[in-house]
Amino acid sequence: MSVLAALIRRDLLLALRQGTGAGTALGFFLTVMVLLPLGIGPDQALLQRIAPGALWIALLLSVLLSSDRIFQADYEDGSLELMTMGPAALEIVVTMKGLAHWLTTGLPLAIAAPLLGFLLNLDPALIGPLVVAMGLGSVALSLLASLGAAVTVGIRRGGLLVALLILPLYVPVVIFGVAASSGIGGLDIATPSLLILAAIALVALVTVPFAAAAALRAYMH
Amino acid sequence: MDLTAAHSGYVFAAYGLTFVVLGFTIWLHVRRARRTAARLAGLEARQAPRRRTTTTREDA
Amino acid sequence: MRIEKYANPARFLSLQKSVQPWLTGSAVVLIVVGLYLGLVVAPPDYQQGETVRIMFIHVPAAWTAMMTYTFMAACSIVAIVMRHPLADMAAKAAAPFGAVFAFLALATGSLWGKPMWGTWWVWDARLTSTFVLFLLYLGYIAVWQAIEEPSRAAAIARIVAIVGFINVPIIKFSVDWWHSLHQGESVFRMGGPTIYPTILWPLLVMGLGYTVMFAALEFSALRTEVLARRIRQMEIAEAQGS
Repeated sequence: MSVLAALIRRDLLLALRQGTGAGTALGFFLTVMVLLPLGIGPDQALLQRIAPGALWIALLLSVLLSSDRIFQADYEDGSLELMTMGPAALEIVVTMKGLAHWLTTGLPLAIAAPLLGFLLNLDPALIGPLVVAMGLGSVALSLLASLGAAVTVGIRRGGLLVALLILPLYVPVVIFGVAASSGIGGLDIATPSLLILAAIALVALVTVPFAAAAALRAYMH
Repeated sequence: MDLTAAHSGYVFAAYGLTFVVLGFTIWLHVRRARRTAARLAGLEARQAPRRRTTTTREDA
Repeated sequence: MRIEKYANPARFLSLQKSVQPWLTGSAVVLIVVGLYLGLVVAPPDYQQGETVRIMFIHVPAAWTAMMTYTFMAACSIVAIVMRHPLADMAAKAAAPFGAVFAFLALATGSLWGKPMWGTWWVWDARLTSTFVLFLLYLGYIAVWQAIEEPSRAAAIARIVAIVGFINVPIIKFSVDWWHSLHQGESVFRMGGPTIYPTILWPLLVMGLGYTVMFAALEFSALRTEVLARRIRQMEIAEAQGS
């Protein structure tokens, strides 16, 4: 147990001290929030209608764009290889890194997003559902982003490749995330969608570590 | 509602597009197959004489 | 298992040589017959008119696109479990064809959708996931292009194929899960097909024709992959020897 705690603590401390992860993601997120109303226009009713979807897209992009740092630094300076020789299996290391990314980027954004929704004239009644749905969904988003990071860690200019690979997997998260938090259809739609979001997060938690560890091993040989 | 006349253009377009795209794909594939086979034959021809000289050296 | 015998590249090449003419021949025959049934024999639909004929090239393309990705995922699993390099090469060879079929499914579907529903595109479940399938094909091909070393590229590509495969059942069941513009399942249903025979037969023949066409292309492309690998090995040996 202490090994797991040590792994998470290391990544959390690095993120806090270097400040790159959450800062970048938050900066990107704010940029989208401020520029969207400028681009779409002052129609408040229109903004309110698109607010949940727009918030989800901003969350998704922020998580995805800040994910390359999950493995990059450790891969380049050799710490990742050292970790494979350590007491914890690479799959555990990957899971802890993914969760650390969630704690430093996904979760803070998931909480901040609904609160910043006022910039898009978000219906206040939706803040609660959004927090819950985004809290759940961001787990899946972070884990899947870490998979994309692992698969492209050794490829230069792998940004487009990450998008091509992870976008297909993000589609169900967005579909069910928006369904759970847009208020359309009431609880009949929201509750099953939340359950499916939870299921996606659980499936990701179980399968991503193996796939990501396999990808990292391929690059380290 | 007579759809036949107005919309057969779409049918032509769909079949035409399929024919062109599949034909192009097959053509590209055949071209790559032929080039690969030719390159392999060239390599084997280059490496075969060398093999013969090594065996004669071994015989001597 | 008989298939294991042909995992040896040399044995595969001899199998390919004898099987290829039959595959190519039957593909041609099936497609010609299918086109005849679809364009000449089948009558225009009561409601859709001639545009129903687009179904005979749209649905087979979509079936084959999904089947090809399934094939790639299966090859990747075989590659992981049995470590046959031929399995990786088979998946690599199949990807471009799968991408073409996915593109054709989208394009012909669009041309069918305009006269039928009045719109070129709509982001419903099946169309979105088919577009996503097309992107997955591109991503898979990009992995092989981006990574130089073949065994490393193969390792990454396997992961992409297997993880991406989850999209295929989503496409299949999406029309049942979400009520949308695209029509529901008409052929692979529990109660049997619900289409008229005059429409069903051209569809089945073309479906089989597309599948055999993929098999013919796959065998030929796999042969090319085997030869290309041999070239690479010979060039490396040459560089090391001299």
